[in-house]
Amino acid sequence: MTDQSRTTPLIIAGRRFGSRLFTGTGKFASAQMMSSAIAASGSELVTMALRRVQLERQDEQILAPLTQLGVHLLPNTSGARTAKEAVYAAHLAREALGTNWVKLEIHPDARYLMPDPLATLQAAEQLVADGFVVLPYCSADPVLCKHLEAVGCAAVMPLGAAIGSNQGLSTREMLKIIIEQSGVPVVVDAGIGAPSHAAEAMELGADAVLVNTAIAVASQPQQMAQAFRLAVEAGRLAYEAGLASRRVVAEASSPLSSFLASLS
Amino acid sequence: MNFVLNGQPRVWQPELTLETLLRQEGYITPIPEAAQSDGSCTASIRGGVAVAIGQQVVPRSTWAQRLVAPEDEVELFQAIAGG
Repeated sequence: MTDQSRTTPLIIAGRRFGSRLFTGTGKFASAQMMSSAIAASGSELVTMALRRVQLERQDEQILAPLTQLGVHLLPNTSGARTAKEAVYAAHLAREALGTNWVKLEIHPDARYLMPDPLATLQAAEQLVADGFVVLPYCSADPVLCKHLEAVGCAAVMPLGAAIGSNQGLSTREMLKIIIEQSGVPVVVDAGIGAPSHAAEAMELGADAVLVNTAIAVASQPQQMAQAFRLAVEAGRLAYEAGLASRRVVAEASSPLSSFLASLS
Repeated sequence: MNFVLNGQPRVWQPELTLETLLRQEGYITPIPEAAQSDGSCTASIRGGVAVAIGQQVVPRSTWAQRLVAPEDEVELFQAIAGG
């Protein structure tokens, strides 16, 4: 796992995380590849989905390798198009995986997979009441994030860009406001396509990032996972170190000594 | 008489419990190990299966007792890879 001494640990709902990189398990070419990539990422929280069993088919088992890694599971409600479906999916996931943690995601439209803010807020409130630790995938909307916090979500997971789009932090300015205002951890989810994007999110002060596609579809997923691990650590270290502020005009790094003036 | 399993009709038998059905279908699903104090688990549960009847989730702890009734719509779900 990650070197926990270098940056401060993250705590969500009383659980301590040494790594601020959360990873998804989708889109890997094989369970073996997924397993080695997650190990290389240092991630301690990984997402899973739930599906109605297709009786004729035997799915590749990924639960066993995840068990071997000793990571925490974060089941999602992907596929849910309404609050009711998401609540149902969360309850099924709790039974299937024995965890009350849930990544709440409700996206009715398959083209952009944008989360439905109203349904997400409604489902979040219900799931908190049902005893879940709710981490909602949501629009990078500062007001919505405050509402999600107010109904008891353990963190908020605003999007950087559309799921799987690898566009980076297209919502950067909104993320800054969310991070500034949030009383719960902010996990930037979706759209992070390169380690530099992850580092950027961490430098902004995000508490963690969730990465799936960029690692899973890389030519060398294990190597890419390591790259993300380093980027997240670097970004967090930089944030904690305190970044120098931007300026419009130059400010000399060397003393502008007067000896040249003497030549004129 | 039939019941339905994930959309497929199955011949109903008396005294058929959910646990028996799941074993017959090849989903060997041991009782979960004790949950941790914070309600979480560390991927220690094998199987990753959940069952609902008539869109009501049936808790794992009751599978051995729960009888499948004729006309029941049994839905079987499984944890899979996802982001």
